[in-house]
Amino acid sequence: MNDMKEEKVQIGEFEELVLLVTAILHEDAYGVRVMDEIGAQTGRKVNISGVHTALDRLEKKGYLSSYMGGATAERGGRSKRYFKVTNLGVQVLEINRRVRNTLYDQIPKVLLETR
Amino acid sequence: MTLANPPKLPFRILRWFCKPWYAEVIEGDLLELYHREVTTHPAKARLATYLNVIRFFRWRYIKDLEDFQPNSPFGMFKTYFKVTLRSMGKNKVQTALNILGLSMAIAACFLILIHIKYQFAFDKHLPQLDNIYRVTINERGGNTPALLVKQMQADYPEVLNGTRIMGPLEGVISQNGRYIRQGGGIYADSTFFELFPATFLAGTSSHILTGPRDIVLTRKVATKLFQDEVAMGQVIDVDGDDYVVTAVVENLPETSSIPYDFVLSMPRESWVTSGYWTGNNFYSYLLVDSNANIEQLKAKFTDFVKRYIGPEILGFNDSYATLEDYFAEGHQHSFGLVPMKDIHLHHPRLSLGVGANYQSLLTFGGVAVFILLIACINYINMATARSSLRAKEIGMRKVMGSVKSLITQQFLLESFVITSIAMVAGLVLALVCLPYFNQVSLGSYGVWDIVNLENALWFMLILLATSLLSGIYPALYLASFRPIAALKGETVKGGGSRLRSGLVVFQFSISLLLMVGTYIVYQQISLMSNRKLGLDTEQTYVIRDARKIVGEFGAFKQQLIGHSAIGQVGLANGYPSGGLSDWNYTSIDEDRIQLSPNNLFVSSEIQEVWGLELVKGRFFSENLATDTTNIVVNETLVKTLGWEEPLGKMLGRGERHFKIIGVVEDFALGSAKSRNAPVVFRYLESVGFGTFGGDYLMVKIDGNLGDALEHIEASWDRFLPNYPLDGRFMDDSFQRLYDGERRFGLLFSGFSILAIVIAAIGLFTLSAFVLERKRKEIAIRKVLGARVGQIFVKIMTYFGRLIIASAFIAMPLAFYLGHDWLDDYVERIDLGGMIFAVPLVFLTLISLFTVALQTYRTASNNPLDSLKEE
Repeated sequence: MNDMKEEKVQIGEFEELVLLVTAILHEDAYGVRVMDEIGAQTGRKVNISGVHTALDRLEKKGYLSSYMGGATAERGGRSKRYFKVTNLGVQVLEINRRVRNTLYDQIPKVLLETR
Repeated sequence: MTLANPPKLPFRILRWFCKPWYAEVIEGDLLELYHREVTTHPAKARLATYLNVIRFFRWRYIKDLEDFQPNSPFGMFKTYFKVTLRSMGKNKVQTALNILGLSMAIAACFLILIHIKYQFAFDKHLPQLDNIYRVTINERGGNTPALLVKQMQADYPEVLNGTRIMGPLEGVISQNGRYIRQGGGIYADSTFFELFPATFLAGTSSHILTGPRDIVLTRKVATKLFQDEVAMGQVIDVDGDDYVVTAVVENLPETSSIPYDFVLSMPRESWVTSGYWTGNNFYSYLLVDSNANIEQLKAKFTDFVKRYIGPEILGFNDSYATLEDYFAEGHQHSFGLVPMKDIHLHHPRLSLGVGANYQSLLTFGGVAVFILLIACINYINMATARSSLRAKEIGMRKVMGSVKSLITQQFLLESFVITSIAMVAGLVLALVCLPYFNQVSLGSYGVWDIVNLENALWFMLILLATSLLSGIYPALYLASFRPIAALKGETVKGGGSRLRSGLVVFQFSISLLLMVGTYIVYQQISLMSNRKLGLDTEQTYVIRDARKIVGEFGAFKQQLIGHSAIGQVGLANGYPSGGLSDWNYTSIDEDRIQLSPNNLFVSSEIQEVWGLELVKGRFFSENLATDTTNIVVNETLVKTLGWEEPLGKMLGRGERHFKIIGVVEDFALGSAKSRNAPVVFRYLESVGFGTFGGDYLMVKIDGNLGDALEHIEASWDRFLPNYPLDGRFMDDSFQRLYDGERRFGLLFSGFSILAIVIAAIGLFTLSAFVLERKRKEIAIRKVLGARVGQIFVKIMTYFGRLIIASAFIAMPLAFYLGHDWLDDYVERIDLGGMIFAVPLVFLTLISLFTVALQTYRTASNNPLDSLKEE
């Protein structure tokens, strides 16, 4: 797969959060779990439907892939939809991080020290 | 782990709206959340489940049609639709031109449709429309005797009711010192509103128009006269007589063949009780029993004529012993019935308003359909010509298991999509053109006349018809491709090129026909408006209501002539182009020939005012009292009677005899449709002026028109303060006779331009395609040494042949139809060669220009670019 260009990255703030959390959870990322993890890591109360939508969008953009599995009793026998970060998704995370760091490094020291 | 039962309802809702595949995952997540919380907060857990289900009600999770009905072909249509949009996007220019042509044609259809619908809606608001009949005399005349309605009601039980109408008239209503000129007045019997009901805003339908001086106003006139005051019971002065307002009715719908603004009661009861059976001054309407046999009723009229009218005819003409002798001499006197519902469309002369021209309605309906056909042909030509581009797609579909009927459906859907887009564009176009259309069609259509529920049905019909017409042939043609051959690229012959040529010939023929038609109409109009009238119409200013001033005529005349720009002033009771009345005269010699010349009462100055050329004898002299027994006639009258020496000959009317003292050259009496007719001038006695027809002041202007008009207005105002002056030039009055032809010409030329433009669009896209296919051929020819000019000629000959073929079809048809149309006119243009040559050259130039543009682009290309691709 070709390398991703910076200007091609199209991702929202919340989507990026979901993508990061999915990456953290690695093999265990599905709707409820992602929601819980966001709550635990950032303290943000998010909605299950919002999480689903973000996951769907990320998959459509090619940053995530999904597969079914892991039905349990507490889910009434319904399968989970597990998500995995794709190579493209990893690239996006890296690009975003690099851009952010580059920008951060250029902030005048004065501004940061006055705090 | 004990599981508390989750609520069922939210999940049922979820499963109802959500796509099944998503529903499984969402359900799982929701159940997980529910069970986690239910042990601590059971109520909150339930509520959260409901809320979450509602939150999942998002577009991406909601079922498609195909999810609801998994076995329907909806999904397939979705891909068809997608493919359509893609193939449209691939040929943007051609698609846009195609849609443009279709939308113009559809806009034309819309406009004609509402016009035709409007014309067919006339009088439909009358509840008893089907049972109302108008009595005609001698098959087409509308004026009938005064006593007719009452007598027919008395004699025939099937005649339930009836009413007489006189008019329409334009009255001058004076009120509080103001004068208001108000048109649309009629005299009517008290039974008028029983046949033609109206909505009464004041007063009731009974006991109105019973008195000799009653008036019923429409809301429009009532508001004009009384603003917010109560009109009922007020006394108003109409043309010098006082009338009492006995009712106010709602304004009439525009679609009325009796378009009155106010109704006056019949002024003299003597008109009903006595009166001659041979004097025809009334319009008679009868309400006939719906069970009655109209033919039987009409058959009884022969006896009616014999019983009531016969004695009077014999009384006036002592030369006939019986009525049969009278009829045997070629005279006619009979009554007929015309259904009220036919009056507007089929008997426009009997309408009191502006009757429809059924023939031109049909013409325009036909033209609209033909224009739509031209646009459909554009689509057919494009779709079949481009078939090679779709061949692989069709082959692939067939290989994958699609069948002929499905592919037909696909291409029908394509034409449906394109037509739908054109439909919307056409609607917008029609709305934009509406103001112009209103001007030429005399309509007053608004946006809501086009956009309404009733028309929606018509629009659907046009949409279906158009998409079928344009789509069915290409669809069947494309669907018949053999899959293997199509995939190998073998069928790609460009598809039915002979048919395409045929259709182009058809388009050209229609365009040519319309162009020749337009040319003929305009030539004829120009001939009519410039024809020699034998009158000084441009200098003659006609002023109505001369009776108001006739008492002071001498003083008024001196006042006017005092101005240098005014040559002469005279009086007349009628004028050419303004409607003349014919009176019966008999020649006083051994032949006793009866004839009905146009009768005009004029003052001695009229010869100079109108510019009449005297051939023999003299015109009337001012101070010669004996001239009241003398007459002046025109040449046609002399010719009709076959007199060598007309001067001194006598014409008789009743007991009185008149001596011919002069003969004038023939002059135009009306439109070019009417023949020269005999004319009798009688000397005007100012006493009783205005009782025989109109009362007009004729002013001859011999200088600056503006100054003269100003002076006339000032003088009029001095003699008749506040009384509105109503004047016009006789020339304008003549020109107005051809308003119908002008509107016809305008509309016709508009449509033929539309047809040409659409056909040119088709030609443009088609030639682009033909050349595209011949690109390699042209390139090879060039490589082998052909010059651009030679290639040019080769392509042009193809289209030139098509034009010649269409000329052979269109010209004879145009000649036949043009001849038919011109048949109505006495003075008419010759259908010479130029009339056909000019449009043909024009069409040839347009199409050659269109094709040349495309050809030049292709032919001047570097041949290498076309050849190196393989």
